Amino acid sequence: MDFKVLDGARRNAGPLQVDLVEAYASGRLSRRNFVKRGTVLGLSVPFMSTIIAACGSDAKTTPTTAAATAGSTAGSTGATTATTAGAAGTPVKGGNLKIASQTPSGPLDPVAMADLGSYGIVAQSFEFLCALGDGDIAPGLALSWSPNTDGSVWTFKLRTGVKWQNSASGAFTADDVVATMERLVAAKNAGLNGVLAAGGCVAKDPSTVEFTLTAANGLFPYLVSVYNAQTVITPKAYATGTAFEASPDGTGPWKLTKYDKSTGATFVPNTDWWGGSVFLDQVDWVFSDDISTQVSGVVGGATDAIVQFAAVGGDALLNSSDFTVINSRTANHREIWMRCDKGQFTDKRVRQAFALCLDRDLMNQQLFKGTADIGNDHPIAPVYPYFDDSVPQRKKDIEGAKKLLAAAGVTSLKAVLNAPKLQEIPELAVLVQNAAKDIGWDLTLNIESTDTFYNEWCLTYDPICDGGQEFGIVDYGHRATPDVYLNAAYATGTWNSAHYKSDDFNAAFKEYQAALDVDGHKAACKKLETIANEDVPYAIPYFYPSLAAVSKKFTGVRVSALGQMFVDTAGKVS
Amino acid sequence: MARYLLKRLLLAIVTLWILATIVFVIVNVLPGNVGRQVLGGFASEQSVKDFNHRIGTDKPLLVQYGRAMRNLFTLDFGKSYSSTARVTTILGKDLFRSMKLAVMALLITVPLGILAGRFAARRKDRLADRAIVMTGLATSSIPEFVTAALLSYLLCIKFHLFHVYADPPDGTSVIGQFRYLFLPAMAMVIVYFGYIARMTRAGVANSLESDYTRTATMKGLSNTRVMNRHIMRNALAPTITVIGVQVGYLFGGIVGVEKVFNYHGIGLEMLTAIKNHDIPVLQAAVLVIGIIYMLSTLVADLLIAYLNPRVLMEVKR
Amino acid sequence: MTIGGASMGQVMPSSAGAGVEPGPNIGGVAAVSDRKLVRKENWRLIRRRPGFIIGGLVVAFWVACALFGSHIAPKSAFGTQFPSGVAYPTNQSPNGTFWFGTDRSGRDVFARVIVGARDVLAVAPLAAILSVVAGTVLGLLMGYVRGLLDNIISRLVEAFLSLPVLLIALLSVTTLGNSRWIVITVVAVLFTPIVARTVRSAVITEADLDYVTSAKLRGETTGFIMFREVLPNVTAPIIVELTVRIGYAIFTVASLAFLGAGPQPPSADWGAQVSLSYGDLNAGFWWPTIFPALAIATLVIAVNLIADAVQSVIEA
Repeated sequence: MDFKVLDGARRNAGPLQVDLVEAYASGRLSRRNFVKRGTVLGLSVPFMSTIIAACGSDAKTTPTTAAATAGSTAGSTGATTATTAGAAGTPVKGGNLKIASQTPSGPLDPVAMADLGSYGIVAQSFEFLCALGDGDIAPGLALSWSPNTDGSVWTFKLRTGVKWQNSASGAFTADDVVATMERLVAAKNAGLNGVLAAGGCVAKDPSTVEFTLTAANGLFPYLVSVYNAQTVITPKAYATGTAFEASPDGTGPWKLTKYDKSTGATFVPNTDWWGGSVFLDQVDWVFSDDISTQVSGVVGGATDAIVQFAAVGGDALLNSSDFTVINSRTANHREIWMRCDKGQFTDKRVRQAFALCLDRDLMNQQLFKGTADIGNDHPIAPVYPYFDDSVPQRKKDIEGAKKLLAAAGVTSLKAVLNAPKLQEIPELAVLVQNAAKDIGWDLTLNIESTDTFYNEWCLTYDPICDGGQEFGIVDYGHRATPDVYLNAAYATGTWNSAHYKSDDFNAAFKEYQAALDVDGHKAACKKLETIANEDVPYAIPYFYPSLAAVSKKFTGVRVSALGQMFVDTAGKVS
Repeated sequence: MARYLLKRLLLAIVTLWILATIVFVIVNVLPGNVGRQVLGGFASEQSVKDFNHRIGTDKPLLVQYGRAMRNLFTLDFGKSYSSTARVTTILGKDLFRSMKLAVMALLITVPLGILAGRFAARRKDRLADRAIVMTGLATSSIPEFVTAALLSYLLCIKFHLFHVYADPPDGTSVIGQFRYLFLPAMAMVIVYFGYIARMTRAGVANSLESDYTRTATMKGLSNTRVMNRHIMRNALAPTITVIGVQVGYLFGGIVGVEKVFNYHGIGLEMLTAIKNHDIPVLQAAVLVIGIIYMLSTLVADLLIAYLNPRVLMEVKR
Repeated sequence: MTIGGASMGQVMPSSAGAGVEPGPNIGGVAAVSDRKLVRKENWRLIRRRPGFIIGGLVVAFWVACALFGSHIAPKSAFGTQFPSGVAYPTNQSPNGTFWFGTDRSGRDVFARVIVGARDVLAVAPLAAILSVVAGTVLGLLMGYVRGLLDNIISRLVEAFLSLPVLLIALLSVTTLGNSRWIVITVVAVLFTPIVARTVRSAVITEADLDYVTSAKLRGETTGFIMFREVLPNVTAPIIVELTVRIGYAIFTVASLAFLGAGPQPPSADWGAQVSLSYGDLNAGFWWPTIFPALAIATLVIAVNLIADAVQSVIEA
C-alpha cells in the first residue's frame, strides 16, 4: 500500500471520489467495482490505475476503456455488463458485416423510440455522452465528468473537434447537448424524468455543460449513457419527432446510406469520425420480426451476427463452434407477484412457501441453458456494484415450505397464474405450475398475448397494475440502476401489482436514494434485499443475460447490456 | 364480349367498395379505441387522445368512413404509422416481391400439375394414377409453413445449397435471384402441385368420356391431336379457374412461407401491420390483395371463354 | 361471377370439385320416401369406399384422442419431470422413454400430439358446421328469392371471397381476443360466403323444377318451400361442402396458431406446437415440429378421403 500516492489522490479528488478511493483501499470494494464506480464518478483511467497500483494490486492490469483504445479490446473481465466478441485474431481492414436485428417498431425517432431494433440502428450514427466501456461506461462525446460535493450538480467536459455528418449541422458543441436534453425532458424520458427538469442543463462554454439535478444523484452519468438509449446526442436543429432515417446525421463512426423498414439498413464508415478509421467497409442490418428466423439466418450464413437471441431456441448458436456467443450480464428479470393485502397470499408464510418450492437451478438450466444469475426474491441483480451477496440464497426446500404452510393453516391452494406470452414466460409458468404441485397447490395458467395482458394489467386497474389478479408474472427489462424496480414495484409505484406496503422497506429505499457513497449504497441495499427476501411480495427466480452471437470470421463486436451492438472496433479476422 | 367485360369491371368496383367497408369495420370500429390499440397499455390517456385526434379517429364514424372512401378512390393511403414511408411506396415494393415469387411458383407448378394430371387421367384408376393422386393429397395436406421450415433446414442450414433468406440483395442478376427464390417457390409447388394435378385429372377424365371426344376419335384424328386440340381445351376450364384463385392466394395467403424465409412480400407486410396496428397499411394491403384476386379470376374467366366460347354463354346466364 | 364454384383462397386437394358445379344428382320430383331410399343407397355405397373406411378410422382415432387424450397418453402433456422429481431432458430425440422425443421445455411430444387433438377438433368442425348452416340459409335465400336480394348478397359474397382469409382471421382474432369461441366465429363468418355460393347454384337448378312450381300453386309459404321442399333436395352438395369445409377449417385454425393467434401456451394444440418448435429446427431438433405437423396432415388427409368418398357417390 503506497500511502503517499493515496494521500495525493485524496487531495486532488472530490468528496465522492475520495470516498470511493477509501472504500477500495480498505478492501470494501472489488477492483472491478472500483473501476465501474470510478468511471461513473468521472475518475480518469490513469488516476484509477495509480490507485490500483498504490493499493498493491497487479499493476499490469490496467483498466481500459473501449473509446480510449479505438482498436480491438478483446476479451472481457468476466462479469462486466459489456462484452467483446471474438477473442482470437486481430481485425483486418475491409469486409462487409451483416447483422440480424429485430425490425424497428416505428419511425427512428431518437427521443420517442422504445425498442431494441431502433436503439441499435440509431446508436450507429449518434453517440452518447457516456459510451459503452469495457467495464461499464466510458468517455463518449463527453471527455470527462465530475460531480459537486453532494452529487446534485454534474459538469461534463465535451470532446472538441467533433463534426456532424450533415455539414449543415456544423460542429458539435454544448448547444447540441442542451437542445437534446431539453427535448428529452419535454418528452418525459423514463430515465431523466424526476431527475432533470427543464432548464437543468446549461452550456457553460462551447465544450462544457452543467447539469443541475432536482435532487442529488450519485449515478447520474448512467442516465446520459448508452444505458439510457434515448439520450443519444442529436443536433440542435433536430426537432422533436424528426426521424433518423428521414434526416440522417450523427457524430459517430457510421453513416446511414440506405434504410428500408421492411428489409434493413446499410451503413458505411464516416471518414470524419473523431475516433479514427474503422475496419469494415460496410455494415448491413437485416431486419426480421421473428427471433428464430434471425437465428436461422446466422446459422445458415445469411448474416454474420445476431443482436439478441434467447437461450431456448438458440441451441444452434450455443452448440456451434462457428460462433462467439456474447453473454452480457444484465438485470433483466421476471417478477411473480403475490397480492399482499387481500386474497390467498396475505400471509407472508404462504408467499415464502411458494418461493421455497421453486427450483431456480432447474429454471436456469431449462430456460437459459445455465447462463442466468440465480435470483433471491429481490430486484437487486448481482450485476450491480452495490449488490450485497451476504443475504442467504433461498433454495428449493419442499419440507420447509410444507412446514410454513402448515403453520399458516393452508392445506391446499387453488389459484390462477396470469402471464403474458412473451419470450420464456410461458415456459416459466409451466415450471412454476409443476413446482407448485409439490407443495399441494393446484395452479391454472392464464397466458395471454402481450397486447391483451398489458391492456388488462395496466389499464383496467389504474393506477396500480395488477389486472385485478392476485397472482401473476410480469417482465422487467435491464436498467442501469435498480431504482425503477424498487420504486415502481415495491414502494408506492404504479406497478406494485402485489399491493406491497412496508414502512421498513420505504425507509430503506429512502436511505438508498440519499446514499452517495459506496458503503451507504451497499448498506441500504442489504436492508432492501433482506426485507424483500423476507416478505416476498414478488418471487424473483433469476436475472437472465442478453445473448448475442457473432461468426468467428469476425472479431471486435461489442454489445451493451441493453442489447445495442457496436461494430466500430469490429473487423474480419485475418 | 365487351359488354361482359364492362359488366365485370363495374361489378368489381362495387365489390371493392364493399371490401373497403368490411376492412373499415374491422380496423376502425371493432377495436373501440383505435389510439389505445395502436399505442398499447402503457401509453398515457393524454397521448392516446392526442393520437386519436391526429389521425382523426375521434371524429364521428361517418366522417371517418367518408375519408376512408375518398382514400380508396384517390388511391391515397397516406403514411404508415410505423415508418416514415408512404403506404403506396411500401406496398409497391412488397407487391413486386410477391409477384416475383408468385411467377416463380406458377412457372413450376402449372406445367408440372397439368402434365401430371393429364398423365393420371389417361391411366385412370391404374397404379400411376393412384400414386399421383395420393402424393398430391399427402403433400398438400402438410401445412405449407412446415414444408417451408423443413426445406429451409435441410437445404439451407444442413446443406448450404440455397439462401436462408429469400430476398436477393440489390443488384443480384435474374439468374442469381433464382437461387434465392427457388426454395420458397418449391414450398408452394409442393402444396399446389397435387391440387392442380387433381383438377386437371378430373377435367381430362370427364372430357375423355364425353361425346365430342368419341366423335373426334371416330373422325379418325390421332390420339395426341385429340388430346391437345379437343380434350385439353375443354378439360382445362376448372384448372384455369383454380389457378386464377390461387394467384390471388399467392399474394397474402402464403404469409407462413414468407415468414420462414424472411421474404418481405405483401403477406409478411400485413402480418407486421397487424402486429403494429398500422391501419393505413392494413387497409391498403387488403384492397390491393382484393384487386389482385378479382383481376386474376377475371383473367381466368376470359381465358376459359377464349378457349371454349360455349362457356361465355353460360356465364351470361 | 367466377365460373364454377371456385374454392376459398386456400389450397385443398379436393374441394367440392372446384370448377365443377356440385349439381344434385337426385331426381327433381322426389317424394319423401324416394329421397329416403336414395339416401340409404348412397350411404351404403359410401360405406363401401375404401377411402371412407380409412379416413373414417383415422378420424375416429383422433376423435378418441380428443375425448380421452389424457388417459391414452402415457405421460402428461404438460409435465416436465419424472415422478422422482428429476427433470425431463429438453429437446431429447425420440427414444424408448419419449417415443416422439421432448420439446424445448422437456415436455413429451407424443403425449402432446395425443392430447392436442382436442384443441383442433373442438374448433375446426364447429366452425365448419356453423359456416355451413349460415351459408345454407343465405344460399337458399339467394337462389330461391333471387332478384335484388340475390344481387346484394352476391356482391357481399364476392367481396368476402376476395379477402385474404388467413390474414383477416388473424386481424379479427388479434382485435377481438383469441378465445375459442371468437376463433370459431371468425372462421365460420369467413367460410360462410363460399358455402352460400355453392348452395345458391344448387338451389337455382332446383327452383325451376316442377315440384317447386306445384308447391307454389298449392299456396305454400316461401319459407316452407325453401326449407321443406328445396332444402331436402340440395342436401347432397351441402354434405359435400361440409366435409370439405372441415378440412379447410383445420388448416386455417392450424395456420392461425402458427402465426400466434391460436390457443395460448402451454396448450398442446398442433399448430401452436409447430409455432413454438419450428425455431428449433435450425439446431436439428425436427421431432417437436414434424410429429404435430404429421398429426395435422393425417387428419386433413382423412377428412379429405371421406369428402372424396361422399362426393364421388353423391355426384356419380
